[in-house]
Formats: sequence, structure tokens, C-alpha cells
Amino acid sequence: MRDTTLVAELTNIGQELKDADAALKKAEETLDQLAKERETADRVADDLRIRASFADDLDRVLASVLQATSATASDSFIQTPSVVLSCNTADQTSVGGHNIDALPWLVKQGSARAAPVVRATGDRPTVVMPKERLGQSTELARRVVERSPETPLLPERPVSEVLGLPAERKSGSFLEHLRNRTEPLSSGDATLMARANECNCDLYVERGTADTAMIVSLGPPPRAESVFGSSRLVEKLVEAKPAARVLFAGFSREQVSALTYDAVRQTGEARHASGFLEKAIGRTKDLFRSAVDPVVSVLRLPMRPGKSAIVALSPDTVAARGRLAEMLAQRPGWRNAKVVGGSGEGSPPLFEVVFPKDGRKGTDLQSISVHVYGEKRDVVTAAELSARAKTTVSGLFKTDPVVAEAINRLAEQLERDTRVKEIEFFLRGVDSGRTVQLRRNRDTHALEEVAFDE
Amino acid sequence: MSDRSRERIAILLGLPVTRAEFYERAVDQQWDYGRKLLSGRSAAKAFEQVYEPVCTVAADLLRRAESEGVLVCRSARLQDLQSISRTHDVLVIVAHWRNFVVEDADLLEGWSVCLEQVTEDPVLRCLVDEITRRSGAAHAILNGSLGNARNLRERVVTAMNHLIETGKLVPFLPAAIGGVTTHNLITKTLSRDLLDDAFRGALRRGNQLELADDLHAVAAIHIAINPSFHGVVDLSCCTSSVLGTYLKLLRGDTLQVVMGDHLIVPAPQLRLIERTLELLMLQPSARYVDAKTVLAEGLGEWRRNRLTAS
Repeated sequence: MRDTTLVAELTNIGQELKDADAALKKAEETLDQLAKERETADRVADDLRIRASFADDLDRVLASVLQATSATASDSFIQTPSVVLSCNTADQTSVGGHNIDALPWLVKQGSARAAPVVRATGDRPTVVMPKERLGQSTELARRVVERSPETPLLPERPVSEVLGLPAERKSGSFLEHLRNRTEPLSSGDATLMARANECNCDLYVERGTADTAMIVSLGPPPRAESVFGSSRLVEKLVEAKPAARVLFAGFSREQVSALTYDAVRQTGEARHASGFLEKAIGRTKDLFRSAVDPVVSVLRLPMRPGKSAIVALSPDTVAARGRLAEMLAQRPGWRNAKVVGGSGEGSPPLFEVVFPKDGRKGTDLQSISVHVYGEKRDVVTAAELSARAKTTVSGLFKTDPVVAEAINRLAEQLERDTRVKEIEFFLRGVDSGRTVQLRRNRDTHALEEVAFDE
Repeated sequence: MSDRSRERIAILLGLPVTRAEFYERAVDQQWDYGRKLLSGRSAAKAFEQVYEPVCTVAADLLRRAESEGVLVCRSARLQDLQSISRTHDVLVIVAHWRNFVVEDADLLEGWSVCLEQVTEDPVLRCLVDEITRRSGAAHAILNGSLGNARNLRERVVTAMNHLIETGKLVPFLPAAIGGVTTHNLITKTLSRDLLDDAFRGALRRGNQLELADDLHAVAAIHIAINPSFHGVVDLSCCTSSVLGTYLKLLRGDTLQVVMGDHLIVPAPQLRLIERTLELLMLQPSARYVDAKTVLAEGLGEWRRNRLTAS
């Protein structure tokens, strides 16, 4: 029994020794690390000391430091000097530091009835005071030391009130700006509906003040809405009915182009997300998949209300016409559609299947254009068709060979360099970008009619 | 070096663009973008796994800018924006936008005290109601008896994000915005501002642009841009329509702002800017906005064609 106890004790001692050894090694590592840091600090200190001690003009050094520190922005209201220049009076190459004995006192909770006292605990003073007065340790300690009579406590006041400052610090937030606005953002007026009614349109968009716009849907029933920010304005345009006639007032033509282009693009995205367009593309591909016309290309254009969403490129005019006729015969829902065009030369669309507005229920697809490129295949590219089909936003054209080449190079490089999962995400974002430049013509409220497919 | 006399373009890079800059920023606990990038990884690993492509493209951009005489301000600070907006016509700001989403690390010392004083603030009262609705007794949550401290923080953060996402704080927005509708990005931004204000400094503020020196509120960006600047501001940051709308609200027609509603990916975004500069070299009379727009449109179309083809 005694042997067992002894073994256990020895095991414990052995373990303690191991622990002590490990702790020692760790302490050694820490010391090594500290020594290295000290070495670096010494080097920096030496460098600074030499520079400062042998500087020609210490006033200039001090002035530079003060200038640099005063340039630093500070939110505080009390600006205390932050630089102390130490000089030697003796002929020595080092300057000593400044020791300030500021060991704070300990604060301990004492009896609620006993008066505050200051005691020495080791080499630190300790202030003992009632619990409810713990927050006043500085004042009480001073009074105890100075033996001054207790002054009646004033009710607590917020710091901002004492200093006569605004109640809250400025945050610089979006919300703060809106809170400080004296005028509401809404910009409608009594004559808005009258102006909208004169326009003979489905949707009337009038620019207001402060990045707002009034949108009047002429219904029935007519409805007005004030929107803030171009993002929301684009959303509202996307919500507009297909083929809606939209009139803009107070916007520049450039701005209208950008807004409508965004709306058109987002409409296409929405259709794409719902799978509608993909189904339509699939059906169109099926229609043209035949021995007669095996090389037809089916492309998707930006969705534009009332205009082609899909384009089929065929090298054979006769075959294309035949396939279109078949298509119309085979699709019961498309019986009311008709083929138009077909005689033009080089100016697409050569054929366009147009669906009447009230034709096929449940689809916004208005037409399918068929471009027969024949020998001009290298000329009629998807980019060119799209560029012709949609609003021109910028002063540069994608059809410009230099621009087209730049786009191709960029696309290829992105595809090569960017992670697969990132590229689609990025492209979707790029696709949503827009430029907003607002030039108001508020004096005249001149109406500028710009259709989606200007 | 070509002469870009028509437009003086400056690119302000608030993000690190070299390995050294990345490592330097990575040691800063306050680096908001870094917190997302690092997320428990070492700086070396985060750089290797995520950030290296950004620096590769940035190197190309720096070379291109130098050859085109375009100013690039690396590690851009607010005062750089201030000085450069005095001398340039086009400001391209590549930076991280700290958005409206509340994260655990945003809860600062004193946040629980704020929640205990809910009677003073209707927004906080709404938050406590939400916590109560989701988890039972608010008191039990606040005194931690429903779980450990970490669990408690998570619940509070989740409740805050729910309030922001669902628009439940909209009734507390100022009267100035009453009667107008706006994009949900703006609504969420303002909702986050409401929470930030209610917590009185105990919640790290959202909705700020992070430059190399710090995070900056929208007002600071507006103030930094010289009042006489009437050029183009290309906001190459995530959901830039928030800051863009704010600037348009204050500056109106004097600014042309390039912005979007989506998140962006830095490497391709820098590549797009780099290629925009290249196109400007090829088409010297073109404007920066036009060149970037046409490339972005072309990319969008390329994407749509690719989708169709597939």
C-alpha cells in the first residue's frame, strides 16, 4: 500500500518536473523573441537618437512634427499638446525619458454606511467607498486626501448638455442627410396628372427634384408614384407593360437612353430567369433543325417589348421561308402570326414572324426575325444585329472593328483568367451597370418622346 | 506616353494591389474587406487562394495606366480623393463597400446595455420584439440564459438582419422619404443606419466605403470630392448605386456617376478598367464613360450569346 502511494507521488513529481521543463522551454522561447524585438527596438532607438541629437535645428524638427500631427484629423473637442521635446543640459549623447508616477488607485466596495476612506494596500492606495458611489472614486479620493467637506452632488447631466454640444455626433450617413432635409423628396404637384393626360401615352415619367421622378401610369385607373433613385426608376420601367408607350419629361436624351436600355436588359434578364425565353429559343431551334437547313443559328437578342427577342440566322432564303411556313402551320398557337418582309436586300430583317398583340396567350414574344445572311455571313454578326436593334447608349459602337476587337479580347482574357464561378457573377453585375447623367429641363417641362426602341 | 488631354483620368485604388500591400493590410484588425477575405485563414493562404489574381490584373492596369499617362493612386486615402478631385475629370474609385448586412464582429462593447434600455428607442424596441418573436422571452435572451454568449450574439445579429431584409424598420424612416418608393438597396441601407444610430456607437457602422486609411461614411466621400468637380465618378465597388444615389441626391446634375446594383468581383473589374484604358488609347477622341460602357455592353452581350449557344 505504501509502495503504491510512493509510486504515485513519484509519478506526480515526475509529471511536475516535465511540466516545469516545458514551461521553462516556453519561457526561453519567449525571452529569445523578446530579445530579438529588443534588438530591433534598440536599433530604431539608436537611429532616432542619432538623428535627433545631431539635428541642426531642433526647432525645425519640432515644428515639422507639430505640423504633421496637427494635420491628422481628430473628432475630439479638447486638443492637448502631444509632443514633448527633451534636451540635454549636460554634454551627453543620450536624452532620458520622463517618468510620471501615475499608478492608479484601487477602488473597493465598502459598507453602505461607512464614510469613504483611503488605505494603503501594498504600494498602491485603495479607496473604499459605498457601492452606489463607485462611479465617483476620483472626486471622493481627492476629498478624502484633501480632507475637504463633501459638496452636495448635482444631478447627472449628459456630457453633450454640459458642453453645450449637439445631442448626437454626426454620423455622415445617408439617413442623417434625410433626417436633416427640410423638404420631402416627393416632387409631385397638382398639375402633374393634367400634364400626363396630354401625352397620349401609357406611362408618363417626369423628372423631379433631388434624384426623384414622378411616374404616372395612365391606366385605367390612372396612378401616380414618386420614385427616388435611378435604380427604382429602372425597376418601374421594367414593370411597364410590353409595348407600352413611355414619355419622358425633363430628362436628357442620353439619360433616357441609359434608363430604357437598363430596363430592356433587365426585362430580358427577368424573362431569362423565368425560363420563358429559353423555351422559345429551344422551340425555334427545333423548327429550323432540318436536313434542308442544318446550319441555322438561333441567337437571343436583348428582350425589348414589342420587338424581336430571338433571331435566327439562315444561309438559305428559300429554305428559311419554307421553314417559317411550316412553323406557322404546325404551331396552333401561332396561327394568327404572319410572315412579313422577305424582299429586302441586306437590311435585316428579311423575314419577321409577327404575332398579333392578343394572339398567343401567356407570352410577351412579339416576333421572331429571320435574317438570311447567305454570302454575307461574315458581315451579319450577332453583335451587329444587336447594335442595330437597341438603343445606342454610348458614343462608341460595338460594330466599330476596333471596339469589337477590344470586346473580343477582353472576353477571351476574362474567360481565360477568371475562375469559372466568378465570371458569370461578374458578368451579371457588369450587365447591370449604368451611367447616370441628369440634365434637367425643368423650365419648359419639354416632353421628349423616346420609345424603347429608339 | 500618349496625351490624354481631353480627360484627365485618375484611378484611386482603395484595395491592396500587391502582395506586400496585402500583407500590410492583413495585420490590421480593422480592415473590413480583409476580415471577409481572411475568415480564419492565414494571410499567405488567403492571398494564394483568393487574392493573387487581383494583383496580377492590377499589375497590368498599373503598366497600362503609366503608358497612358493616367494617374494611379495606390493605397488611396480620403485626402487623396480630396486632392485628386481638384485636378482630374474622371475619378475611378476601386474600393470595398461595407454594406448593410450586420455581422457578429459589428457588435461592440456595450451593445447589450443598449438593448436593456429599449424603452428609449422605438427601433431597439422593434429589435427586441423581433428577438422575442423568434426565440421566446427577450429577457431570457438578454441575460444569456437561453444559451452561451456566442449563441446570444448570433440571435441578435440574425434578428437585426431580418429586420433590415424584410423592411420592418421602414416605418421609422424620416418623413423626408415618406410618399416616395425607392430601390430595396436604399431601404436596406437606411434601415441599417437606423440600427447603427440606435446602438449609439455599440454597433460598428455599416454603409461605408473602405479606402486604405479607413472606412468612410457617404457624407465624407461627398465632402472629399471637390465642390467644383463636375466630371465622372466611376464607382467600382459593390452595390455602388447606394453611394451613387447619395451623390446624385446632393450633387444633382453636376456629377456623372457610373454605378450598379450588384456585387462586383475585383479582378475582372480591374481588367475591364485596364481594357477601357486600352480602348481609349486606340480611340483617343472617345470619353472614358463611353469606352467603359461599350465594353461592358459588349461583355453583357457576349454573355447572353454564350448562354444561348449553350
